[in-house]
Amino acid sequence: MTTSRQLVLTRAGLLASALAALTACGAPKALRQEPPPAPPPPAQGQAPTPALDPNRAAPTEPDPSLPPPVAVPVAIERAISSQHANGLLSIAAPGSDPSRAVVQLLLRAGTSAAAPGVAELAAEVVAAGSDAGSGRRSLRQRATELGGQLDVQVGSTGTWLSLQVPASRWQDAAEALLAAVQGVTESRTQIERIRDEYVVRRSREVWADPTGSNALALLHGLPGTSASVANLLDRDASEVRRFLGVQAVPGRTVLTVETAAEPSALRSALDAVVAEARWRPTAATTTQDRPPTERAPAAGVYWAPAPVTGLITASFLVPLPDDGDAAQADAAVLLACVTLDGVGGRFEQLLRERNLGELQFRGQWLTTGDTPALMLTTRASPLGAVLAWRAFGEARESLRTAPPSASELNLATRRATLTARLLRADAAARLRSRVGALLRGEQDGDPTLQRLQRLTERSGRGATAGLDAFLARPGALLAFGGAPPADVALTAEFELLPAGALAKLAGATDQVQASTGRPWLLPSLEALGGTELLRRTGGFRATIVRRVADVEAASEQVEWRAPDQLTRTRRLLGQELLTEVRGKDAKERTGAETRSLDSVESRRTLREYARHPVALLAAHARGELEFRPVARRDSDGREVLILEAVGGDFERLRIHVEATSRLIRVVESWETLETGVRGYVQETWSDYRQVAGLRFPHHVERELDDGAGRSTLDYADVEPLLLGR
Amino acid sequence: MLPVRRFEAGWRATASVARWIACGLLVAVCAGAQSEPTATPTAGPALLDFRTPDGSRFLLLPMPGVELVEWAIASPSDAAYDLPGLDGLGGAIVQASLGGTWETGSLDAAKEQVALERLDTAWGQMFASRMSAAAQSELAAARAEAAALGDPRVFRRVLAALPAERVEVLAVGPTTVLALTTVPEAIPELCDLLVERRDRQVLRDLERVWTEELLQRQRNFDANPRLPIYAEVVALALPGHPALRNFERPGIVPPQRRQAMQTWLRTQHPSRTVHALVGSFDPLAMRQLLEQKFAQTQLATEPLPAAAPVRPIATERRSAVPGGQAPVTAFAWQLQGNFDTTTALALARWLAGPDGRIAAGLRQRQLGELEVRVQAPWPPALGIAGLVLVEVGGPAKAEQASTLRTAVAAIVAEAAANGPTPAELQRVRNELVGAEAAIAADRRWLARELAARALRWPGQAPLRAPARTLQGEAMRQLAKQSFAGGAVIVENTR
Repeated sequence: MTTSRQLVLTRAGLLASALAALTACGAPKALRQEPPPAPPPPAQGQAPTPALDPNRAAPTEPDPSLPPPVAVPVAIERAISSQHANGLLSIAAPGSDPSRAVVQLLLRAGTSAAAPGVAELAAEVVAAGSDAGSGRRSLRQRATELGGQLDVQVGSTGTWLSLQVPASRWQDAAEALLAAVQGVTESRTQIERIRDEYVVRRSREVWADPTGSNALALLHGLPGTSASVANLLDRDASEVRRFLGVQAVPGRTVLTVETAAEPSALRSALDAVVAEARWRPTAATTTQDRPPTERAPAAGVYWAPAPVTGLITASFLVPLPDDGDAAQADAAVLLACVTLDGVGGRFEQLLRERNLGELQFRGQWLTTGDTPALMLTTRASPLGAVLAWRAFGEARESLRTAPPSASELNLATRRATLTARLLRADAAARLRSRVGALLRGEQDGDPTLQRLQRLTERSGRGATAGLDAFLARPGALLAFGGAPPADVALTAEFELLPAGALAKLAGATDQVQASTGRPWLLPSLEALGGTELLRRTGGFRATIVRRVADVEAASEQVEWRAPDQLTRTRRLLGQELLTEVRGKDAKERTGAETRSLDSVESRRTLREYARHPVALLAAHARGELEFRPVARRDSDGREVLILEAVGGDFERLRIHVEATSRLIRVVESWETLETGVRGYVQETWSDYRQVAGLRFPHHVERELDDGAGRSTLDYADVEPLLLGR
Repeated sequence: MLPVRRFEAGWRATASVARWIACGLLVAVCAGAQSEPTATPTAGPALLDFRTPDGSRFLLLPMPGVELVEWAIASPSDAAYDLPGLDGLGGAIVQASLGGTWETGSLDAAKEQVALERLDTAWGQMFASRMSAAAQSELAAARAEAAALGDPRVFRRVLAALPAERVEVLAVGPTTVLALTTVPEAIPELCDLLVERRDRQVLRDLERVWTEELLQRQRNFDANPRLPIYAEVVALALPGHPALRNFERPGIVPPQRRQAMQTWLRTQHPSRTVHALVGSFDPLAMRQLLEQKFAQTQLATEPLPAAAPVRPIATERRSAVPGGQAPVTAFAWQLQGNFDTTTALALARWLAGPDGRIAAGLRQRQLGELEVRVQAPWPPALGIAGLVLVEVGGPAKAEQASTLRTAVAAIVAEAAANGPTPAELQRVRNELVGAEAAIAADRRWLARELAARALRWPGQAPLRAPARTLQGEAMRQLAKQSFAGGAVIVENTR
């Protein structure tokens, strides 16, 4: 028995283990620098950011005396089963969670017992069907009423309906499950409605998660979601009725309750619930609809081509042996030698050797209820996806030619244990596994976890016994987008959804009407002097006085022409500052000193004048600057139109137009300063006066960053400058 | 046939359950000894809530079952914590933090720091020079140099080997949650690695992570036609509040490393993070271990800007937002009074949906079957009580706009006066219990929720028990106080 202490690794040992699987030869030289070398000196005038300083002390080493906080194992009692007179098997399974109960109903027939899609639809009819005549609500509604969760899994040989509820409601949950199966609807109309709703829901799921949905379809042995959804569309209500008529009978039903209770009391209470159930008389023919058909997870290369260039999404689907198969644990260990769910291992090593090291994979575990599988997803070119898939295959095969080392197996066993526990983390999944073992006549317990425990005790030695079972399921590559390389032997091309499903989905389209602010601003153009005059207005000349706290701070003579001509003489504290911008040539002169302005500074200087209301509307009239409407506000009796500039040289700019006068009252703009900080400027314009046919605002209150800096500017001697003059 | 039950077996089951209950009681007693924040009063599992010496807040929820531990770390990613113009940076840096530390992933820390500073300058220059050829060339060279000195995948590899699985970064309301799954045996090593990640962070690969985050945010904005409506609601109801920025299309402003690290200090200081651990572990041993491992931090405290004051809405404020395919009228009121989150959530459920009070009232007034959504507290932001937001999918005809506004005002006033009926209260309670059950059934989700809730509402119990705590009178009081204030109304126009 391995104690928890034995599993505590030293930091160095851990890193070594992490790299062991990866670095058989030439692995990345990622090292820990302890202690790090002296850091470079900070930039002049800049203190080093404390947490960026690599020379600071590393965290202290762990105290090896502290044990991991492993909980004292809770012994779970064996489950007790009862075979009832009508054939129903009930199982009272003592659990460990005193607050929750899991009630599970198994119909011993799944996808292999009927035409494709029938079992799935039948499960949905059980979950969503109701009976208005008797007032029976659907199982889904009952689950909500009981404060519970309904989980439906359709495997190849069984259909599982699990309700997780507060412990005190388990009897209600058991009654609801039995009622849903006994009273399952036979109404063609209702079945067809449920089917249509289910198809729409499944189709949305496919759109939302095409990789996961297709991977699940492949695990079920179907060539993608299009086939899976098409099967649903092809099924007739009578097929569902026939399936349920044959399979939803006591003789093929197992009802299990898992909760923390005394086993005999639990069994008695469960027996009472089962005895209360009133089953309909079964049909004369209670034989199976058709002989079970084995559907192994699909293997090969599956491609959903699409006319896109560049990177595509590629997923590798790697199934393990089925639940209950003794080889599952060994296979999980061997898979962890190949990859730790997309990180490290032999696979990453091969990718690096083949210049595919840039590919990053995201790992996700899926299960059909019978078959768990790892899905590794990446973005790659079509060729890169195929090469990586081949590398994955070679990494798997390398386990035969170069058996895993002791350190690989040790690391992989720890990882596989975590994975196996994860796959059983959900109470419904755990109970499925437990019931499956009981029905197979095995000991009450999970064979995979038990095998992993034995492997852990031997540091993984012996896991290679499952090599054949692991390699027997080669898995599949799913590619979404682009076109397959010419030399790839495709197993199948597939679509995400069949046409019928797309038609059902149609309704709310995502097309958004392109809206324009032009109609909103036409009255403003007229209010300021007319579109034609504004179109010809290319700038202005003015004298501007700046005040801070009512004290004159500066005055300036400005001549600005859109887009990039400026002459400004600013008088400040007795000094004169001349700024001249002529396109890319920008400079500033104080006395005898001249300095050039960089492009960032000169553009920011120009924008100060470009955001004058007249300049903004003139640019709009010329078609140089568009606005999109944001809102029409009515606050305290004042109506204001808010518009945002689209394009132009502004990072972001909004104008507030008074609805009655149609004058721009506020200009808001956001700018990133050299320091990297984003500044916010709000300018409130007033004192509109007629100047050469234009209504020109003469007064502005400017606020920087939430009122932190406030100033006023008064314009005088304004002269609009017309283009071409 | 399975073995029949034995007396001993029944006794052992009872004893094992009793052990868990005793453990829970012990934990509750220990939690009660903490001055602040307090332990959740329990009817179900006991939550241990404490701070480690470095200031980190921990929530421990031991649950029997598979020997796994779900670990979630919530940190602020609220607009108030992001630097202006760099919204989303709080979330992006958590993602970038998985690129490793000065100890894990660096070949030469000093050289790498120089290379990263060069890369930072080159990246900024790309934007300043509008992607000039020279800037692109320098950026490529700087990238290559940095890549040769640091590998952003090493940290993930070390995590995977612990083992830790399903390492992911998720946005949960105004918080970002780093979540992972591990086994109890690996907790000591994991603690060290997480402390190292916090205190010795490099933010390697930041530019790529930030760009992906930005593009995702822009895609999200473009895909959601209601965001302009939400932005307008916030602009009117919470003027000047940074939460507004969550609903606006993000601009392309690259963060400098200095700014990213400033945000790291702001959001990752232990006093501003919450860890939630849910799973099978010994809670007392876990606490002892955490208190030793999270004993001190090397991070300095970075001050936050002063919170924007929330001014009451005195009169009705209205606005019309152009665009959208279907008509929507959004109403918002400021939530008032000293309410708990469960009551606010219940208020929303009471009013929302086809069976909710508002839809029923609109039907009675012959306004048809209109979709009604209600959210409270809203918007997702830290440090504010928030609003109750009502969205009605109407009016069906433009000329009914005024009637709809009047009708909704009358319906909520009536609701505030009378409170929920027993049937309504039962429905709401069932829905809330169901929602909590869904979370509780998935330990990973539960850990994530506990951490995010504790960060968002630090004074409230993160483990909700609506079946026990929800009161109709509290809902009525909250409705009465909130709907008495002025409303903000935003309509879209076509």
